[in-house]
Amino acid sequence: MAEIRINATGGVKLYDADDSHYAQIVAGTITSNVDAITLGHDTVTIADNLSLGSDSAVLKFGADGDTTLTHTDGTGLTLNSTNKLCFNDASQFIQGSSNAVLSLGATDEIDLTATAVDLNGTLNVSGVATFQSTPVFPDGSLALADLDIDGGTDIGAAVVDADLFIVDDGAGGTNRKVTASRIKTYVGGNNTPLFYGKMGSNQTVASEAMVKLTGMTTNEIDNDSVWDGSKFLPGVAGWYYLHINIVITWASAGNDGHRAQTNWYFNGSDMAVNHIFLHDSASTALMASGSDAILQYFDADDYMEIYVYTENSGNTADTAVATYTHMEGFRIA
Amino acid sequence: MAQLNNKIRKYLGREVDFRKDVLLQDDGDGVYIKEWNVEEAQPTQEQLDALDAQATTLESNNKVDSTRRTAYGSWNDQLDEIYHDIDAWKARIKAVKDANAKE
Repeated sequence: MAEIRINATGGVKLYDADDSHYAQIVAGTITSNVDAITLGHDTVTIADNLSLGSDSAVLKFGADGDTTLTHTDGTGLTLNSTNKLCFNDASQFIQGSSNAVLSLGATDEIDLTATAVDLNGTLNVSGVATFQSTPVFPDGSLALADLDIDGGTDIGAAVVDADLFIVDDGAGGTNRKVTASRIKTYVGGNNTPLFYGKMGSNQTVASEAMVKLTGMTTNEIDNDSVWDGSKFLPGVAGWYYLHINIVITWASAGNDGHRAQTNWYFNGSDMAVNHIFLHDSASTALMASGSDAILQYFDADDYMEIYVYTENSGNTADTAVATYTHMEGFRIA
Repeated sequence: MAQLNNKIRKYLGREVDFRKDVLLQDDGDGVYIKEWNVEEAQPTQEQLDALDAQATTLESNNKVDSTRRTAYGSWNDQLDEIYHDIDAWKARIKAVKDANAKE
């Protein structure tokens, strides 16, 4: 027969019918001499804390106890098998989907709110990755092969000087932007710098002297400011083609032309590349014309001028004729 | 004013090769002596200025010589002229010289 006993410590023991099992309440602690105490009610309310006092304690859920939370001393709690810890509804969950994979699921979005999210493994993104701020990648980490140029949109217009390209500065160096105008300069596009200038008025030239031709600024073409009427200073290193056309006249009979030649002066020095277009000491010529061209490599600070040397029977001054004297040139490489 | 080349001719008193002996140049500010490659001392500007009148005469006479040569005609034509009538040739040459007198 079941009975209630009050023992010497002031505890209360509740015995079952055969007196083999009991539950004891002593100073707020319920104990028993069986493995489990079952509280047979739909809802049990505990006013404050609930403690599972042993290591490896298991909290079971469900009629068949298929879902458990197991304590591991010094580690924490383990949700058994591939069961999920769901939030709001079954579509938002954390799950140990295998013994090596932890799954986070949500219907629309998993929102990680923190100053920084530190991902130490690889990242496999199946959908579209959208950055709200500028991403920072380690230098040299973006492989050229990963750029999808085919998928880009055509510029739909001619490339202009201001358009930008990417260049590996020094090959293996830092990637830099470069304007189309720089590329054009590098490859010698449009054969610039270029210039043209015709003599504006006749120039009197002393005979038997190297005389620089000047004043070739009529009908001038000089978009790159490389020509001042007598000196070509391209400012851009490269190979250049230069051409001079000149007409020399002598005053009259008694001032007959005997010799006329042009000399290219590179950086102020005679290159000894002379073009002699009249050489006859018995000549009675009153006019001579000559045309000469030269191919020359320029450094950025190199310059070219043209000088004329004449002789006549009177050893007096000659004239370079404006109408027919002009000089021009352009970059070829 | 005479040219610098003719002043130098007068200074040296002989013919000068201005592509080897003495190199003159004009970079836009007037003719100057760029190289002096003869034994004689290079003249000062004062020495050259003093020779201006002589150099002017030289230039003038050079022109006269040149004008005469043009008027004389080619050697071929003159030889033919002499062959046919040497007196007429002499008269024509004298007329050229008289019409183009030197200083």
